[in-house]
Amino acid sequence: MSAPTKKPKRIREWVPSAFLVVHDENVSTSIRYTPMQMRRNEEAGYFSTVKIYGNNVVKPIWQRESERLSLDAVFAIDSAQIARELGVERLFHYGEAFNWSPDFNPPDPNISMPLHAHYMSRDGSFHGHIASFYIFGAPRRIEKGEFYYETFPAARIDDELYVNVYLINPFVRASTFWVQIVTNSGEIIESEEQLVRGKGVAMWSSKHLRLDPRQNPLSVIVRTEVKTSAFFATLTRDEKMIGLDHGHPFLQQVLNHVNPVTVTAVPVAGK
Amino acid sequence: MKQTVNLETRYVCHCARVTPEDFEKILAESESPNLRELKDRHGIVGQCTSCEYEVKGLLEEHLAERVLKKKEEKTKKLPKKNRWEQISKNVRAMFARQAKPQLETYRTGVFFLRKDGLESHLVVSNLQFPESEKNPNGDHVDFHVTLYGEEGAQLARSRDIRLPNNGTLECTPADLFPELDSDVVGAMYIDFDNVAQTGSLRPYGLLVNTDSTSRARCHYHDKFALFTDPGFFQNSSPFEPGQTCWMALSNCQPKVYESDYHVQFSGKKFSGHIRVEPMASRWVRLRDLFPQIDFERENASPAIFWLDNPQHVIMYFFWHIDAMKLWMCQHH
Repeated sequence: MSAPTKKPKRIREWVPSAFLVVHDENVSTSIRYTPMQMRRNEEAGYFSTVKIYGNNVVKPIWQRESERLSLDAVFAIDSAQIARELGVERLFHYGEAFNWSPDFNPPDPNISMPLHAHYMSRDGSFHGHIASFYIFGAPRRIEKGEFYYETFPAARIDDELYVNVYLINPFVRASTFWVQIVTNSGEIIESEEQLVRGKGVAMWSSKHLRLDPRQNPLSVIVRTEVKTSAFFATLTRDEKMIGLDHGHPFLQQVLNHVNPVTVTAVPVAGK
Repeated sequence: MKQTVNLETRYVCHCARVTPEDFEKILAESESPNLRELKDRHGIVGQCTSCEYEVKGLLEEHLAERVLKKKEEKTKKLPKKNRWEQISKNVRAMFARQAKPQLETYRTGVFFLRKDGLESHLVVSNLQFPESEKNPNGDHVDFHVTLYGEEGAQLARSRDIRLPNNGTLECTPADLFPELDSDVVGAMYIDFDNVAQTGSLRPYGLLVNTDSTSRARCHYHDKFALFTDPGFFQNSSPFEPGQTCWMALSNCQPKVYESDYHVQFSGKKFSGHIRVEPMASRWVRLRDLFPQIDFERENASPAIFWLDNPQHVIMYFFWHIDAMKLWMCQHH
């Protein structure tokens, strides 16, 4: 009888992250990756591959690879450059960044090294600074059922403000999604069924809604078939963006900020 | 042969033409599903690898579900005698839980500002998971907020606040700390008493304008932690043309945060030093940290700004878009 073999230790591998690139005559995105954000290994070299996807979910329309980067390097790409090289004037596209090091495997659950998208605009319509989103391996115990959910608190939809929801789908298959507004008076307003295609981005706007002051502030819930990421913009009625931040999934654990745990999505018990 | 791609396709793996239903069936029929088997036997993730991370995620979820199911079945399949033992064990465990509920205090924190036509609100949503019959935190959650000032002194403590299931609160400084009427740079620490899960409770700070000098409604979520960060607190867009960047730093630990800080651009590097007492906070314009740089003459974009010390602090950057008089922000 052979001796039981020891289960091989699972080796962590670098994984990509996802972001939205926006560009037109007024708006631009500055995409910047620095290894310093997540790592401190000075001896290692780092690399970044940034891909932009169009209609084909398996073949990017644009790709750029960095040279070997030092820890304190900044790999910078401007949306104007992408648009110029693609011969288009507008971009509202899904981007994916694979930031990695050939010299060491991730030593902790932070297996993705995100980049930052810095959005700027001449007309005030799109401003923000947001890290690329985890596709896989986020160290949180997330609650899911038949669908995946993300929430955003205390939005306002009234005579002065409204909310736009941006959705990023890092997977190859399309996903339907719905946006739910949970008003302060307990009413739930749900959007029509929407679609975000594979390796795609989508936007849902509440511009058409004007809710009573008593219904504000309100929560926003995004319900999706696949595990997408959502972020939320606050806009004034004269089209100025005055806030941009990401939401959170429902967390099954009590967050312990002393020793973060390493568990990914777990289904609702009994489902 | 060239394959056409349907934009609305529902394939989990395009190359192997595997639908979500097929994928679930494959997982269900396998004795111990794993990525190697999916690749070798079904060709999933075998070619273009675009579906790798969704497949890995779905596989993890399936395995977690399987563990839950196995636990349930194990209890059901116990022989009669063992079943009685199990039942009595469960009853004992139930009483033990009632005597000492499996609830925890969830403590977290966000930066706070009331100054120069801006103030921080606190926003919290207590939403029931849409597919659950009830909120594991019960009909409501209770919390209170403690405010610490620029030098680390405790300035105020809110009353106990009750947030019902599916409720959302936006609290102004006047709501939270009515006795406080001065300008404040600091941090709010939020203690949720006895919660079963965080759910949707992660609080956000919300920077809003209080006069017409500029406009802001910037959400910035909690960043409390006591661990050491794996990387550096950094900002890769510190000096963008037409934008003024501010650093908001709150030392959430009972020890001093002391660090060298640096900025690097066009092959040049400039440094300084910062010290923040326990529980103290700073609201500082980044260019004021570098009086040695003539920003009118230097082209400082792209640049990178960072602090050396990995001791976790609550850190955000806020940008004022000068021409538009708008604010934006993000954590790092």
